[in-house]
Amino acid sequence: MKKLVLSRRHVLRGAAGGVLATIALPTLEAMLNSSGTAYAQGAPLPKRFGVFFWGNGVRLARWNPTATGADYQLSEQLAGLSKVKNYVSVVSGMEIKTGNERGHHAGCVGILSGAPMVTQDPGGAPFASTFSKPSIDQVAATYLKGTARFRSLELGISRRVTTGEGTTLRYLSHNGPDNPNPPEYSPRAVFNRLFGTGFVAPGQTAPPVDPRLALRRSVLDAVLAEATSLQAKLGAADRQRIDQHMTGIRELENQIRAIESTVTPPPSACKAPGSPTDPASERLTEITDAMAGLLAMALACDQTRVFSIQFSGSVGGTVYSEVGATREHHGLTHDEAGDQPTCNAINAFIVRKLATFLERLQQTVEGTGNLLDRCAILASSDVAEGQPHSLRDYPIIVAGRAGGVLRYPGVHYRSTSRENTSKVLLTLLQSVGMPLTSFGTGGGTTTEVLSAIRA
Amino acid sequence: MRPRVRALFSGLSLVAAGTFGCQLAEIPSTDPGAGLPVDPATGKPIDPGTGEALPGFSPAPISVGRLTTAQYRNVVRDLVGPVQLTTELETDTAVNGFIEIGAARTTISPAAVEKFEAAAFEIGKYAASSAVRGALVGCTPRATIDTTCTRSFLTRFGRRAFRRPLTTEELNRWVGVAENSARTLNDFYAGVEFAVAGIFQSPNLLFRVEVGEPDPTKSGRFRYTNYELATRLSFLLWNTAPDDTLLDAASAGTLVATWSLFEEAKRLLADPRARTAMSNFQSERLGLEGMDNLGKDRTAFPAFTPTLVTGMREDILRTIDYVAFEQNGDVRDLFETRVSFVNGELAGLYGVTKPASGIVRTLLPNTGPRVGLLAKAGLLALNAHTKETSPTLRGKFVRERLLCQGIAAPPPDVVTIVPPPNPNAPTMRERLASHRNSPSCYSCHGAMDPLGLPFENFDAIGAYRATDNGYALDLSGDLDGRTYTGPAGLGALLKNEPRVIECSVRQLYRYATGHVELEGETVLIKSMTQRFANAGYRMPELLKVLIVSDGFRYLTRSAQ
Repeated sequence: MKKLVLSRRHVLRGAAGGVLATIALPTLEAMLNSSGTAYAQGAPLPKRFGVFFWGNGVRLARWNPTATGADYQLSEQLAGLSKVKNYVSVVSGMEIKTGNERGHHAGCVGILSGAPMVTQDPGGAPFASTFSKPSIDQVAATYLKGTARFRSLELGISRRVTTGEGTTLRYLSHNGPDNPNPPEYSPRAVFNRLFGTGFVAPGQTAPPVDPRLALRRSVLDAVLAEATSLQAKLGAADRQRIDQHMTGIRELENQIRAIESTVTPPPSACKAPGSPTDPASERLTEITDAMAGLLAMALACDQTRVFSIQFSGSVGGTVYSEVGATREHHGLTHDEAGDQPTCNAINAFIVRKLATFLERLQQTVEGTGNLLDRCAILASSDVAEGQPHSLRDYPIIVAGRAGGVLRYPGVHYRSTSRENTSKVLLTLLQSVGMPLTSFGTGGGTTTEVLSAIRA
Repeated sequence: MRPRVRALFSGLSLVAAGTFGCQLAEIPSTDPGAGLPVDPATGKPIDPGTGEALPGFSPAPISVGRLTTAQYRNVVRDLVGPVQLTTELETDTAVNGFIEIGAARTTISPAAVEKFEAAAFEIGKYAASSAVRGALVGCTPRATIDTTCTRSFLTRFGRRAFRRPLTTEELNRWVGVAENSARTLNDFYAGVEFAVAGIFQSPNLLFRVEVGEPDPTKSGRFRYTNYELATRLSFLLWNTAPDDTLLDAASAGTLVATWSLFEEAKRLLADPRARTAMSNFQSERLGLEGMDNLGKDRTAFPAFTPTLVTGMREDILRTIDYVAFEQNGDVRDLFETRVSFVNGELAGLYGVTKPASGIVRTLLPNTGPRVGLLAKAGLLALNAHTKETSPTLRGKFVRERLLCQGIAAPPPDVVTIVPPPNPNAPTMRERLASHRNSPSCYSCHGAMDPLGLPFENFDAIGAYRATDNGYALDLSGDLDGRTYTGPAGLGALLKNEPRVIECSVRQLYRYATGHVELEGETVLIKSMTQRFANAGYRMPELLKVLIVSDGFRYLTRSAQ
């Protein structure tokens, strides 16, 4: 039974005697309860889950802080986090336990899903791999979606990703094997999706319902009917692929319904962002700035509660000209001589871009706190160090307070026993409220949380 | 460019084809073991290389493929016209070397559903635009609701879109969508817009639904239907949905007979679209997608521009097209050819006369160091690091892409750095000594480095160099115990290397069928390889052998 929710627009339309009313609505703090911790209807402010990912690992000697606990100093490569240090915990010394069958592939799948990779190597053909399980963002999305318009948001910054080795290296977010959620690289496309036609900001007048919306839904109903008939002709594997297609169609129908009847009260922090123009490809700073602004408002306006940012790909060939690099990153991690000064500068740069996202969330006031107060964010890479493809002493950053569940101010936790990285994943999923007691597959399985990073 | 007909195939189709306008002798045998030697004791085909018995042929299981983005765009062009889509479509994913294999595995993500919807309405709006709709719809509506006109349009349009006639239920469904939309928006052409937009979101268009039917001529066997064969043929040879002529042949029910399929194959092969489609195959086979992301060192190579990369890519693809299709030549000649296609920047890199404009065919000097496909600047740049050459990557390319041999990944926790040039090891060959001196490294690098070292006279962007770090070059190499010198030496060996031909047959089969060949298909691969040789290594003949083969026409259907 679907719950009947009266939208504000329906109420107003009734009041105006059936005429399409366009009356400016009061909004804002009035839409929150008096303590600023929940929407006025009583639903608590949502928690959000995010992933930030970059390719080719770090230089551990310049990454790991020397001290542990709350009083640690940020290392050279982590220095960019200084403005949000209280919201950050650094986790070091842990290990991915799902095996290192193939450099980059195994680490990518292990840190993002706690499960082993699927090798697609029939022999005599170029190697490929994919995920065996959903990535952690999609695990969180099944739980967190709530009334948000979009189940999850996938953002990409650098397009110089590895394209020839299957889905693992190319895409961060996965629903399952060979079932990726490719990221959106264009800020303008992200804007159009989230804040284009159909988005009504607090204080703005909702336009009359466009009759085309219902027609779009009727088209999708027809498409669903065809997908259902098609499934009867298919074997199990193909049926599952059509199932995923149908899930997407139903989600789109719901997104259109949300436009037709504004059931979600616009939260107080929500302000429609301006429409960005797309920076030139690979202008990493400009793209990051634009995406950070869009992400903050996507969360504040409850367009989504789950996000992933593929800053650069696994084995990524990004050219970090911002720090003077003239060569692509993956090659540099293997070939740069000595102490690898360019690779060091690149890692410090990536952390500054992570900080851009975190600072933007921190600056976005929501109720009595800010967005970062209600986020749990995992930031990591596809290898510990790029050159040896190692999975030990894995670089992990945890950000956000998850509504007070994660430790604040943050700490540097250094494992002395090569603990399972899945502990961090389980801790984060629990922190946003998921009632999980274990996480991971095979050697990646854990039932333990990392209490050091919990409040 | 029409290939000369050659009656080179062993075994003949027994279909009485003479009355249908093609010579019986032209049609390649459909016997999966045709052309192979047989074991006199069993009468069964054996591997001509090893002499071992080959397992009997069994066709591959079905997997419903998505359209690739190229196929989707071609279908839009063919069904509606030159729509300039502003929606950025979801990317293709290559698996095991081909996006066609990825298309048979991946599905449509929720974000892609949104993108396909946005694109579909761009297409629908274009279809309903005043300049286009008259010819497209084919009738003039007498009112906002004109069921006769709508039905006639959607019957015709739907057949092209789904590559088969719509069922009654489907036709009623889309007529219903059209009329509901027309009524709501009070505009007949709004109905056209919404119906077209809907059909362009249907899984019947976005996926290639090729699931077969029981073969009435052989119990327990499944064959692709007439319409499915039309679709397979068209996507293979034109990379787009079948045209009306092909659908008419399917409608007549003849395509399941090899003579008819063969006639259509010849028709499609004679069209320039076949050459574009085959260039698409070659691009994937050689991994040219990677050329989009080379990120070469801009300080070391200021001349490395996007225009140069375009020239490099075109040089590779047009040279193959010229030898394989324009000349209908022996594809092995590619290993020794001096033919090049250059734009201004590539002409500069090659040291030949720059064309006044565009891309022109030229012959590189006979005595120059650059000979054969492997010395194309594009392949040398693709298989190199951003600043330095990589004999390892160049050797890996030969193993993986030309010989179909897999290379294991480096073991974890091994420092993979190549030492910088130093007085003891000033050249790349000497710097790679660490690979040779370590047994665990050399177990794989021994298969790669010696194949790449003979290309050391070309730098990381494929420009000629006479020395490395000021030192003279040693261009000796080793292919599985056979030694040679330089690109010309390797080219001469590869030209006569049977594994190269078998690998190219495997790759074509993978591209055509969307999967890596299974054990039950080995006999067909061996047979196709043999018949490719019998046909003088001519690509159009190989394609014909493939198309009438049991691997292209039959499938295995597992329990539902």
